Amino acid sequence: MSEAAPSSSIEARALTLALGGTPVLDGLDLRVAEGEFVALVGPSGCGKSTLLSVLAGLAEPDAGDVLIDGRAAPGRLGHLTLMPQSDALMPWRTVLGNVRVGPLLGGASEEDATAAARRTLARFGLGGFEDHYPHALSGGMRQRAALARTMLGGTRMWLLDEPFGALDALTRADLRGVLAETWMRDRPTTLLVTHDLDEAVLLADRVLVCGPRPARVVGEVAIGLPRPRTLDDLVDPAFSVPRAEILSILRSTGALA
Amino acid sequence: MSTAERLPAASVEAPSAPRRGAVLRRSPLALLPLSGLLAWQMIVWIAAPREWLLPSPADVAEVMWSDRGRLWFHAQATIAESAVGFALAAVLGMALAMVIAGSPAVGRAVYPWVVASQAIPILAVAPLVAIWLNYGTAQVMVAFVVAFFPVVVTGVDGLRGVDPALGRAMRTLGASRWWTYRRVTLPAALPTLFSGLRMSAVFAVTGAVVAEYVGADRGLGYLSEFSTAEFRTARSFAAIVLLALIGLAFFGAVSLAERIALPHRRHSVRPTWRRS
Repeated sequence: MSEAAPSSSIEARALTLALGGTPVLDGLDLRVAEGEFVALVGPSGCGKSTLLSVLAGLAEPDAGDVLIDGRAAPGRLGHLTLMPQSDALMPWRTVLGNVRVGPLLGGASEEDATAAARRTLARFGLGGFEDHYPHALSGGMRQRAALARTMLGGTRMWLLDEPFGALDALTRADLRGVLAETWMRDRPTTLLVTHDLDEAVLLADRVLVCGPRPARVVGEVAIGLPRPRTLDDLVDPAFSVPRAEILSILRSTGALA
Repeated sequence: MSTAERLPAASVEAPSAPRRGAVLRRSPLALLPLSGLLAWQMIVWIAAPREWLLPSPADVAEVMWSDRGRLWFHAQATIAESAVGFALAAVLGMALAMVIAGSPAVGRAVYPWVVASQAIPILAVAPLVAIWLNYGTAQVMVAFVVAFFPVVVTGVDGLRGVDPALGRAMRTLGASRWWTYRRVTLPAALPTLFSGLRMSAVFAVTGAVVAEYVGADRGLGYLSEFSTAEFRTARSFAAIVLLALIGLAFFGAVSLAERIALPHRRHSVRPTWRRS
């Protein structure tokens, strides 16, 4: 069913939002082209999660617009899949029960949803764990299941909110690989929020740098490096240059000393 | 695809089977009440009080058998009153919890009254209820009132404590508000709610008995009260023992319902009885 859903561009225009009197977004502009992978890095608490909520349609901005394929999209909730940092798996459902929610909500039959979920779980190395409850799995396996659920969400616009932020470094590296591979297969339009520079450089086509709150995009670095990229590439100068560029932008915002 | 993570089998398997060992480990503690019974029997043997003052456990057991027809008749009444009172408390308490948790304005208006109602001693109110309502209804009413509060409190806590990330993720997958409430919020609140339901089930029995003491024509509370008045102390004890057993049974029934409703709390893998 992911083949059927269109991959579209996501655009934010002059998004402004205050929460409880505190400005969180201040005229934020960004654009993720169709099938593009964009990473957004910035200091903690700069309003990145709020931005994703607004893009997903879970919250409306005070001013500004969210455009999908260049058109205003007031009914976009449900058309962009949000993957939170916590895996947000339902503890009372098995791994299979959690992952097949997307197709079921998309109107698939029980059999089709189950078959699609089983296929995806097998591809994500979770074959044999379909009937396990999430608490019986490691953090990395749970996040794999969450990624499988996002993939089967039936949309081809992904908003990833620090999806690997709570994992240890090794598991994170492993899951980055899974995400990169999945993205290369499906090419969904993807916006990844992260504060891990390596993650941004390894995964994204473009990295946007976000200033301290209220959030605005203060800089942009293109990562014109061939895929697939691996951890070993990180020591390559071709990677350390954009990485250094991102760092210097972050420094100029005062987010780094 | 990179290689799948593999957990050591031991951490994946459910710790379900070794029941026997657990019982053996608990057995010394299980003997504690038994030794209490034995001490009671010894005291009666040595001090030899009049039977109406302190009957021995053996006397109580004897009455439980010889008077079983009467005891069972009254037990049925108490069980029915408690069960209906508890069921009403569970349904209406959860409904009120949903309203309070769903609307902060209603919550602020109603919640203090629910809490304040608990400060009124039920023993003082029960005679009034007995005047206003007929036998049977009064017992159900008092059982309901005492069982209601834990359901509301744990229901509200459970609903308010649901991780919003769960519902938000489902909403972006296309779930409606109603679907999210029914399939995410309510199930997520269940574990907390069940703690309240277990307390409520026991409270309901106590409530029914309190109401039987102040005005009833049947029930174990009524039987115990008039047996004491007639100095049939052994029968009074027998009624109390049965009441304790009924309270335990109610607690056990809710615990069993919890195990069936929430298999993930005790199992790592979906148990076969949950597979279709």
